[in-house]
Amino acid sequence: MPLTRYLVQFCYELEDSAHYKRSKQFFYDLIENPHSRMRPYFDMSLIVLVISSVYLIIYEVRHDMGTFGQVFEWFAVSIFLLEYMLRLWLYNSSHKIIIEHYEQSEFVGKPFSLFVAVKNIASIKWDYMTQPLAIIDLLAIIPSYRPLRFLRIFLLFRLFKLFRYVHSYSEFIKVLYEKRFEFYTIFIFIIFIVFTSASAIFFFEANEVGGNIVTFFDAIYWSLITLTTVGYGDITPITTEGRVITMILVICGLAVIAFITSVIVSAFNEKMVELRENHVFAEIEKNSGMHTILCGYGRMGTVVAEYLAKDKAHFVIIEADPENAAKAKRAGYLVIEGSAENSELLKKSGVLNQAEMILCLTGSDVINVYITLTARYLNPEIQIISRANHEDSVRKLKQAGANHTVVPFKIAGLIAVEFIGQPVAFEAIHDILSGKHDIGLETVTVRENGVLDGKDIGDIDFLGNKLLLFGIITNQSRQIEQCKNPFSFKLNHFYFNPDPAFKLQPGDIILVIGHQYNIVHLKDKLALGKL
Amino acid sequence: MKKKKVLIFGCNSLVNDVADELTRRKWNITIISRNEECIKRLEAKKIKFKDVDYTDDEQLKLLGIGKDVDTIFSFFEQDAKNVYLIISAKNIDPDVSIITLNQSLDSPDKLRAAGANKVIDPYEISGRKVFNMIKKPLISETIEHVVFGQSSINLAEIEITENSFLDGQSLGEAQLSKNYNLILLGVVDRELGNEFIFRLSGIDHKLDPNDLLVVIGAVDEIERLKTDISSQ
Repeated sequence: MPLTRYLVQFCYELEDSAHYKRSKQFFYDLIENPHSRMRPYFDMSLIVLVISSVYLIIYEVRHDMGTFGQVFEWFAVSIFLLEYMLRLWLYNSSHKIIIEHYEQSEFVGKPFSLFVAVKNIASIKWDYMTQPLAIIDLLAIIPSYRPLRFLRIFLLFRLFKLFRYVHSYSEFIKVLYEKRFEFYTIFIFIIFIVFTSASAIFFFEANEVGGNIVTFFDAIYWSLITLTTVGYGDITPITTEGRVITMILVICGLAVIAFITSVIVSAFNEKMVELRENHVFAEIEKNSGMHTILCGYGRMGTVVAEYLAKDKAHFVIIEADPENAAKAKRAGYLVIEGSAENSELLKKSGVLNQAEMILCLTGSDVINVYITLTARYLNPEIQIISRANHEDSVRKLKQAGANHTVVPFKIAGLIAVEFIGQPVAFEAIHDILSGKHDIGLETVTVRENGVLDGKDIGDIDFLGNKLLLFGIITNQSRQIEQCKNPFSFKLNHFYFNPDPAFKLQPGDIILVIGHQYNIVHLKDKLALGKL
Repeated sequence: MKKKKVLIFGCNSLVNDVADELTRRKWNITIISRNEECIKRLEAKKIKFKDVDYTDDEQLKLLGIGKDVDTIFSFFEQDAKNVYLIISAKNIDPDVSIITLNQSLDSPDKLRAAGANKVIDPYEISGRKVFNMIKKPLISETIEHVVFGQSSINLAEIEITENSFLDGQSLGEAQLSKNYNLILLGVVDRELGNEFIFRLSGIDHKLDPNDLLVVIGAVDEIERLKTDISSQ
């Protein structure tokens, strides 16, 4: 069968074609990929198109739009059709199915049957076409076809298309869907009451002279209008029996309404936390790649969150204690209520790829070690800073994979010791370190071929720029006569108060103390190439 | 520097850290604790301790408050105890310098009202440190190793004595970073109050006796400068 062979060959070509894949990826990004940047624009323009086309349909009821209306309708329908086809196409990769079937039959030595493969593809595509949203899409297109003009009312279904582009709708549907049992019960109850009361009123009033109820449909209509407490009053009972039935029906109606309301309210109450969390996760996704996860909003977490917020950094707080979580929410931070030991929660908060840093600041070392380990296991690249409440935990935290540890009481001790002999010096350095009064310690990096590259440190007039040279951090160690006392860290060397003959190299980092303005000024000068 | 007596109240890991560091710096310390475990540990380390009831003013006087005690560390775990001790101590000797730790959120004001000279909030400090680690990792690493670490760089206050070689010089003239391996951060003019004047704030301050130089540098260099100042 040459057709089959040709088709299989074509599928292999598709599989090989980078161009095909690129274009499929492009359309996927455009209309499906929730993380893509293009998608919101696409959604927005389709929302506009849907609304304007529906507006036109309504406008046309009383006015004649002429050719413009027709052209616009054609334009809208072709866009919808195109979108429908694209979605159908993107739903799966049909050529892969053919290849798979072909290879399978080659493998077992059976003749390849195109029919089975196509059936398989058709069933998958059918799965797509029977999804509610796909049906809505189709209904938005079909009635434009002239022979099916009587389906015009379905054109209003285009409004339902908006669901596709507004993402919170699914939550709404989900909430109601979860309560389907309650709704089912109440539905049966309503049918029962409506039918009984309709029969009763029909029985008493149908033959009454001057009565409003003539047919059984009148009775059903009246009973539903009364039950829902709408009460138009176009049909009213005139006999005493009829009025008694009405009274009973009204009371039943109140009960039904109350029941439905309570079911919906409770459903949303239960879901509210989840909805809010989804909002948090959506925010996290927006700030992809640069946010910080802060586990534990206790004393230390509060301080860190405050600083981060002041710095306009993106961060999300995970806190298990509802009271603390509420406090964080009140402060306006993104909060996930739950325990950070839960790796699902950690994943959702973006440990895998979006977050660049995780801070474990809970009051319990056991939990901190556990979170550290989980985070390190989930993402080997992530920066982890962990709080150790006891000195002994530092080693465990490092072992679990923490990059840095902070021991609150140890730091307090160090500071207390510094304070005792020299309170003024201590306050001064403390102010500088914390950047009070805008005087702080800042870094200036030596760029390759920049002004500073190759210069002697003594040639740079720091004092003239109102800056104090504190030291130089470098990853290349220098000859000993150039520097009086290097300090070596893991990767870098630090030269305190370097000799004027110290030669700068690209990548060196100069630490200066000074007023913010002066530091910014110096950086500006360097960027312009002047010194 | 007059190394007078230092009392440390309380018993926890913080007390241990502070005691170790102060012993290393050769301060005369005494730890006051009623905790037997603590006392055993201190005995093993040969750190001076006293088993005294801090609520008794007479006992506190016996410890030397009001006489030769210069500084008190009040490191109890409960704020109430700290406040009580601070008030008692300040009653006996208003000039004694008290450093205490802030445990609960609203207590720093209470502790200060009681008379504490310095209230350290470990969570605030650690929180800030975490933030600095995020924002300025290099600086925070450097500071941690160089200033707060066990390395030989330290900060110090140096008092200018009359007729020393720095007396009468202006801040700009005193080329400390060239002649000594030191960085001069600024000065405290005791005549103008205890305000710290940053070296580059625009005022070329003239050094007088009793001014305090705030320097940062290697310990031996600081000692060298001190001896140079006092010898001339």
